[in-house]
Amino acid sequence: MSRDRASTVVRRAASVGVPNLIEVLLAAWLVATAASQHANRNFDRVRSNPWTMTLLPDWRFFAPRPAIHDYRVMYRWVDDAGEPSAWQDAAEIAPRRLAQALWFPERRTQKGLFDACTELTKAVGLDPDRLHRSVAYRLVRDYVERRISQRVPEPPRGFQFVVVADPGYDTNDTPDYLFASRFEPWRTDA
Amino acid sequence: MNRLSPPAAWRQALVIGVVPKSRFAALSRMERLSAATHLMSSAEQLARPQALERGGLNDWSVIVDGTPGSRPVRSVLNWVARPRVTRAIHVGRVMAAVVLVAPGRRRGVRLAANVVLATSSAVLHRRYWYGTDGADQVSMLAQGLATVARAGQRSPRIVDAALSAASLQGMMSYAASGLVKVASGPWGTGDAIIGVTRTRTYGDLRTWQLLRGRRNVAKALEIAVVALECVAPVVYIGGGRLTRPYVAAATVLHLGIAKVMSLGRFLTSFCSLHAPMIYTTAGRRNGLQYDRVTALAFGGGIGLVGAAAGHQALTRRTVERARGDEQRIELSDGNEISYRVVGDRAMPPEATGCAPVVMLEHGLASTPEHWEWIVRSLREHPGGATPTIVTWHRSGYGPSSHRPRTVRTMEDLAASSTELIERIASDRDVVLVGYSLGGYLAVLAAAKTQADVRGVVLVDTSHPDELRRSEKQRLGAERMEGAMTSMARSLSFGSGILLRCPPWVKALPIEVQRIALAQVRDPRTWRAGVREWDATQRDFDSKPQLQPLTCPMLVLTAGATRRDDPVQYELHAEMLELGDGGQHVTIDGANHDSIVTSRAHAAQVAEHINEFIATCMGDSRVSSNTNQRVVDAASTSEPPS
Repeated sequence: MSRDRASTVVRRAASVGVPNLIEVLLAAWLVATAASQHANRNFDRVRSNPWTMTLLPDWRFFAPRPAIHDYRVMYRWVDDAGEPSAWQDAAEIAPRRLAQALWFPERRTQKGLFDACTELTKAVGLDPDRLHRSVAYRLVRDYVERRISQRVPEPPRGFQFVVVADPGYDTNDTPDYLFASRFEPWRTDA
Repeated sequence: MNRLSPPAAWRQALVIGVVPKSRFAALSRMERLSAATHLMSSAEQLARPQALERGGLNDWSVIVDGTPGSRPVRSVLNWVARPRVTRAIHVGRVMAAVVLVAPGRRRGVRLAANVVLATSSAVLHRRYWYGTDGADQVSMLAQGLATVARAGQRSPRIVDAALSAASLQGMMSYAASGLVKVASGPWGTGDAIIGVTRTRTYGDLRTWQLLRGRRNVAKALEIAVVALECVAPVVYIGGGRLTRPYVAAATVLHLGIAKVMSLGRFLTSFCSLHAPMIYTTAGRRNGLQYDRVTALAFGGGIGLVGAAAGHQALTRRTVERARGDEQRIELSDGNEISYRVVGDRAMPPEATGCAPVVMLEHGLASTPEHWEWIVRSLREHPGGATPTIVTWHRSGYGPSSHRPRTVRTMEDLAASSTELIERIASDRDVVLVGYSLGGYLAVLAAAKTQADVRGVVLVDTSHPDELRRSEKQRLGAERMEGAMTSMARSLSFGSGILLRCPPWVKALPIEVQRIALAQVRDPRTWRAGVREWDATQRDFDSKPQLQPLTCPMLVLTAGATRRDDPVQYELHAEMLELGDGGQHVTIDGANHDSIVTSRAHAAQVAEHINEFIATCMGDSRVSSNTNQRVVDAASTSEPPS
């Protein structure tokens, strides 16, 4: 076979084979996406691999149940004399403004805290060692620790934080305490 | 390709005016709107550098511990996650997005910009695991498809394939969200929108104040939103004539969401999928030549339905075959029960060294395989003579049959247990062991049977007062009831193929994982659970008085139950008082599942059971008049909170 002919065969194979392959892969991706939208998340078998979780979009926005609570993270610290402080909010949520529809970087932090608290409250009931080693616990702990270091001039002996399901603007509903941390000794490098 | 006049190019760049009817107009609109979303997203991340540091919610030194992947993948992610590299990537993303948003039609440049945005989105996805949202997901998807289309731009077939996939994903994004809301949840009652708008994170004070006293308006809004989402497939009907009104309505929805919930990036990201929807649903009218993806996906969907039906049939066959050494017996209620004997039940007491028959009663919506580690430990390390062990499937579970109206009360369930005990172990001493609801059943059966019950063991048992006295149990029961009904319904429609393997199945010995998983994927297991739960609730509501037993008891409580639900721990202690002496032991570190399914915890449970059996049979170590509570040393150091 001459070089020109070989090159023609390869080009033709590519012109047919590549589009075919792309079409089949895209169709398989669509079927896998459809198969991973069950209302009950126990049926997320297709999505159970962490990488398929990245590749397959999850279209179940605000479904089946939207968030109807804020996660409110509160903390208190113990000073050198052993006196506990009053409980304080670790994060304040700014009131809604129209400009936030265009520019709202703080939402990223709020969403990050929301995701970490969701994961943390799901881990309640786990073995305490596992819970305290979990990524969500450590993220919230470190977040609170940084807030304290920004607000308290002298390093305290340690601190404790709680995660509360707060009804937001609705003052007729009561907050629900979801998680109370252990006493966290202050780390010298904090 | 015709060059656009400068004003037309800018109009297209600003994605206004023109309805994208042609292949390249649709592609251009998709990649521009999606790039605008990336632009905003990266600008937001650059504006909050502290998020990457310690105490930030994207601190990689913490997140890396929850990130899966092989060593090369993790090496790449570790490099990408260096704050300087992450910031440099964002700067590159901003530049690539600007290139795509601005007018300019050079294929190579646009392809490169698309590649930068698509690959960086995928690589940064884990980095921003906490704080990422649906707009990021949609823009990553759209930019990935734009990359495929630009790479194969010389082949209209490849561009059409990418646009068809984008269109189908766009349609699915609405339809799936709507259908899941219809299937369950509070949508349609007014509670969903009022509930969301009251939150400070996603809500809006003025909107909430407007809606809270106008439930009918909230309800109408919810119905309108869900209806709009559910009817998304209509864009594929009538040659796409409904697509433009549909995307117009959807855009209004996204504008509302942007205003009320401050989710502005959702507007640009979702609208990026509208252009492919308009182009592809009109088919040949817009010049679509190749729509094999839609046909292939449709065919794949039908194939998936067929595979689901086949999987369900195979699952049922696996359940019916069970482990192969089961025996069957027809009880007086007409139900044919499957049970399994480990050891020889026919052996006379002299031959077994006075070892009893140990009857294991499984929990609600549970399987006899839950007992597997305990069965093995009881046989391998007996405290005295090796016991004969019986596990069984209650009516409706596994291969056991269920005749209508035979399981209506706890008395019906206890009667089945009692009859089975008496028919297969009448000539032997019996020890009853029950887990969860099976524990309560074991108490009822022990009080009712004529067999010689020498002891009762309750493993993290249910108590008839638990729903009244323990808020944690009451809330758990509400969730469980909904979950069981949902599982039964979904599995009846053949969704078993999509059901994840629960962690407790993976904790069991490998030889029984297949049969245990088949039972979890069998809708009959969940229907039996729903039936039994109905009977249980009626029984608990009637405030039954439990009869004292004439044998000693061993009550085992999971450490997590004791720690998290002190009321349930107290109820377990009260259960112990029904017996003629006994012990209450906490299995430290165990939770309600792992107390039977974890090898280590099951070994501890089996050790306590073996000691208890030896005591019961030797009748030497248990005081018959006092309740002896033995709590292990570890748990005494941590009193219930």
